[in-house]
Amino acid sequence: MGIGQGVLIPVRRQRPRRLARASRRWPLLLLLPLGVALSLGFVVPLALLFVKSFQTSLGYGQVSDHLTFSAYVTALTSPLYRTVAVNALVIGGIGTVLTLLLSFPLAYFIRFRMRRGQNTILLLIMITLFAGYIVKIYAWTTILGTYGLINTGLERIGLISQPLSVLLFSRFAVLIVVTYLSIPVSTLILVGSMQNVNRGVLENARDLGAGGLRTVTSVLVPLCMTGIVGSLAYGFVVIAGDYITPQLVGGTTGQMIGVPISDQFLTIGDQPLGSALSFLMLAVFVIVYFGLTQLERFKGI
Amino acid sequence: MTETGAGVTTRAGNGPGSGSEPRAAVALDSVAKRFATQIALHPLDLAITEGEFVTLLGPSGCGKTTLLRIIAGLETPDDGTVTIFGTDVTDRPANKRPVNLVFQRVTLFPHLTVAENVGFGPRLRRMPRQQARDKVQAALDLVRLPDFGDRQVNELSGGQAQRVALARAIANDPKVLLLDEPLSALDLEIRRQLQAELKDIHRRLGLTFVYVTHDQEEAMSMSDRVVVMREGHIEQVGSPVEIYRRPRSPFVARFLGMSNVFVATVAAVGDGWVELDGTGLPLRAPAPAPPPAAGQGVTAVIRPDSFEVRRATDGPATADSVPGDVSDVRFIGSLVHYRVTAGDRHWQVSARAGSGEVLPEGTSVRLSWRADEVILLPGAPGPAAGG
Amino acid sequence: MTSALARLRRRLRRRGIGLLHVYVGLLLLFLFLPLAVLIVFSFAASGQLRFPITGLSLRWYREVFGSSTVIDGILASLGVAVVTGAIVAAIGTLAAVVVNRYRFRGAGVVTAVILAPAALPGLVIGIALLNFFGDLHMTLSLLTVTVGHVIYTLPFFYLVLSARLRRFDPELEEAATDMGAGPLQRFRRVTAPLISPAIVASAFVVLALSWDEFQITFFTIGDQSTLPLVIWSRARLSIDPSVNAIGTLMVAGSLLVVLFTRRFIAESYS
Repeated sequence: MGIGQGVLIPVRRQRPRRLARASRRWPLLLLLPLGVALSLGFVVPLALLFVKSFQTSLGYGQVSDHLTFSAYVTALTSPLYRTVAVNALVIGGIGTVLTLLLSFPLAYFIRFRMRRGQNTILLLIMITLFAGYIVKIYAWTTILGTYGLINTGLERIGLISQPLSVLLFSRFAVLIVVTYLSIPVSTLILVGSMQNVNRGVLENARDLGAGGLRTVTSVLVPLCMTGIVGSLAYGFVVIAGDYITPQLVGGTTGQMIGVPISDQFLTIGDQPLGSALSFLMLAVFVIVYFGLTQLERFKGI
Repeated sequence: MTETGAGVTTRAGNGPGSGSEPRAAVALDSVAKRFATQIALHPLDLAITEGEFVTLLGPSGCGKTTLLRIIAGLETPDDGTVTIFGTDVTDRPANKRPVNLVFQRVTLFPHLTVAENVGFGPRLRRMPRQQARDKVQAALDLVRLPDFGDRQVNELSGGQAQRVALARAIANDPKVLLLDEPLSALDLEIRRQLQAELKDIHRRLGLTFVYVTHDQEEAMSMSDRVVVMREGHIEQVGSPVEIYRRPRSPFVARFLGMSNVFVATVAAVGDGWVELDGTGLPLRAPAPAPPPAAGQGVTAVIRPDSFEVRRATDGPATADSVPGDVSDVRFIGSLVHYRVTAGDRHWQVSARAGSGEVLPEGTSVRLSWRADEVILLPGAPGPAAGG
Repeated sequence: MTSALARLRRRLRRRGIGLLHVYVGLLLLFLFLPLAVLIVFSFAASGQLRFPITGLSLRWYREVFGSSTVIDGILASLGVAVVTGAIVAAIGTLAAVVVNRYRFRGAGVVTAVILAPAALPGLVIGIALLNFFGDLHMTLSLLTVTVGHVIYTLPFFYLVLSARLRRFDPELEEAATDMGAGPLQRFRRVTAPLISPAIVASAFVVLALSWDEFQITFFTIGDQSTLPLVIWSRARLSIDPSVNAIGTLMVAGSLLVVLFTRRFIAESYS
C-alpha cells in the first residue's frame, strides 16, 4: 500500500508546533504588509463612510460638516425604504435557506456517494460560478420572459393559454435568480465542511439502525454545522446586499435595499442617507450572524 | 532529587572492540521537561556508551519520545544538560548536532526522489557531486534498496519508505542514530524482517543506536541495554537478560509480560531462602541481600515460563507444586497460555506447545514451579492491581 | 400506472440509481440551464430573444470580436486580475503562513480581520471605497478597481491557503532540520516547494474571482471598463444578444482555465 497520494498527506490535526528557536517578533513583522493593506483599503474607507452617515447632505454628492442623526432618522422612518428593506430581508432569508436546502443533498452526494468523479463535478460547478455574473442573470430573463423558455414551453404543452407574467420582473424572479446564483458557492462550502466528516461515522449510524434521513439529520448535520452556518450567513449577506439582480429582473415590486443605496451614490447624491442605510443594513447582518452562530450550539464534536 | 538510571557511566555494552575504554556517546544530566499542563520528564540521568544499541521502552506517554527528541535537539529541556561525545549540545539546535532521527511516521520529502532524499544531508553540506552520489548508493545498498534511487516517494511501500528514511539518516554520517518507533506502523512480517536488518546494520556500522518503542519484544530482541520508562521516570536500566531475570519493580515486571505479580508476607527466612505466606501456595524464593525480616510484606513475581502444568493424574506430587484447575486456555501456536486456578489466585502459565497435548479448560492439573526462579522485588510492595 | 412506475424504480434501483441520483441530475440540469440557453441564443440569427430560435448565425460573435470596447474590456479585466493575484498572493501567503505556524496571542483577531471583507456585501465595500477615493480626490481608474479587488479576494485566498497549510506535515520540516538544514535552507528546499502548489491554486481562485467581479468594480471604475462592466452597459440599455456571445465565450474560457489548473485544484478535494 502506498504511503499517501500526492503532495499533502492528510495528517491528524496538530497544533502548530513552535519550532525550537522561534523568535516572538517575526509574526508581527511579517504581518505588516497585510495590516497596511487592510487598514488602507478596508478599515479606513469604512470608517470614513461611517462618518459620512452623520453628515448633512447638500444634494448631488455634496455634504456639509454639520454632524447629525438626520440621515438615520430618514432611513428608519421614510416609507420609501421600508418595502425594499423588507424585500431584502425576506428574499435574503428565504433565498439563503432555499439555497441551503437545495445544495445540501448535492454536497452530500458529491462527498459521500461519488467515488471517482468528485473532482469533475466540482470543477463543473465552478464553471457555472465563473460564467459571468451579469450574463447569468441575463440568461434568466430569457428563460423567465414572456416569450421565454418556460412560458413558450408551457404554452406548447397546453398547460397555459396566456404567458405568465409573474415569472419575470417580480419578487419571485429575484428569488429564483439569487438562489440560482448562490447554489454553487453554498455547495462548495458544504462539501468543504463535509470533508472533515468521517464516512465511517455515517456508516456506523446506519449500522446502529438509523435510516437514511435519520442518519443525515441527527449525525451529519451536527457534524458539519460550521459549514451550514457559513453557507447561511454568506448566502444571506450576498443575497440581501445584491443590488444588480433586482434592477435586472425585479421589476417594480422586486426591488431590494441595495438599489436605493447604490442610487444615492450614483445619481441622487444623498450620500449620508446612502451610508446610513448601509450601516443599518450591516447592523441587521450582525444580528443575523449572531442568530446563526447560536445554531452552532447544535454542533456535534 | 534525581533518579539515576545507569549505575556507572562507562558501563560497557557490546560495543566494537576498541582498545581503549569506550566513551560515553550521549550523556544526559538532570534532564527535565515539562509541557504546559504536565511534566513530561522528571529530572533524570542517562549515559549511553559508544556503539551501544539502547532502547527506551515504555507505554504511551512515558516520555520516551520526548527524551529522544531532546537528544535530537527538536525539544529543549527545561533543566539539565545534553552531552554528545563530550560536547555540551544543550543549546545547540537540531541542525547543528551530529545526530540523526528516523521518525515514526514517514517524513520523506514528497517532492524529491529517493536518491534526492537520501542525498539531502550531503547536498546541504555541499559535498562534491560524485562523492555524494557514492554515499547515497552506499546507504541504499546498506538498507537493501540498491536500485531505488530514481523512484518517487509515493511509489514506496511502508517498509521501503522507512528503509529509505534510515538510509537518509545514515548518509548524514551521524555519530548517534535515533529511531522513534520506526516500525510500529508496519505489518508483523515486515517488522520482524526490518528488526533483523536493523540489528545487522548496527553491527556493521558500529554506530550508537538509540531506539524508542512500546513493544517489549522488539526492545528485548534488538538491544544491548533497555531503559524502561514510566510517567517521566526511568524505572530500570539493564541488559535484556538482566531486566527480565531481575526486574526491580512490579511495573517493569508487568510491562515485560510477567503477569504473576503479587503481594505476600514473609513467613520465615533462613538458609538462603525466604518462605512466603498469603497466596495459598507453599512458595519460597531465593533470599536477596539484605534479606527481608519475618512478617514483612513483599512483592514477588513468578514468570509464566517458570511454571509447568501436567494432568493431575500424571505422576506424583513433587515439592514446589500444588493441584489446580485450568480455567482458560489460549493456544498461540508455538506456545500455550494457561490460566490455572490454584491456592487463592489465578496464575498465568506459559508452556511450549510442541506436539504435545493442549489441556482443555476445566482439566485438573498439577501446577509446579522452579523455586529458584521466584523473584522478590526490592522495596515496599506496591498495591496489587496498580504498581 | 403505479405498477409500471414500480417496475421502473426497481430497474433503476438495480443500477444503483435512487431518488438522490434523480435529484442531483435535476439540480445539475437547473444549474446548467441558463448556460445552455446562453449558448443556444448566442447562435440565434434574429435579435429577439424568444423561443424558439429561428435561424443560426455567427453574427454576434463577429460583432463581439470586432468590438473594440469588448476587447479593451477583456484586456482591462485580465490586467486587473493578474495584478490583484500578484498582490494578494504576496500579502496573503505571508499572513496564512504566519498564522498557521506560530502560536501567538491575537491569531484569532488577525484571522477575523482578514476575513471581515467577506462578511460584507460588495455594495458596501464599493461605496466605502468610492467615498474614500473621493475624499482623497483620486480619479477613478483601473488602479482603484484593483484596490477593491485586492480587498475582496484576500479573505478567499487566505481561507483556501490556510486550509491547505493545515494539512502540511510539520514533521517534514523537523526532518529537514534534523538533516542539518538551517532555517533558510529549510525554507528553500522543503517548505517552499511543498506549499507552492497550494499558493498557485489559491491564486487561481483570486484570478477567477477578480475576473468576474462586478459589485465593487461598479463603484470604483473610471474611464476604462472591465469586461463585466461592458456587459452591464450592453445588457442594461436594451436586449442585446451579443451579451449571449460574450457569455458563451466566458464559459468556454473558464472551462479551459479550469481544465488547465485541474492538477492543482484536484488535491484539495481528493
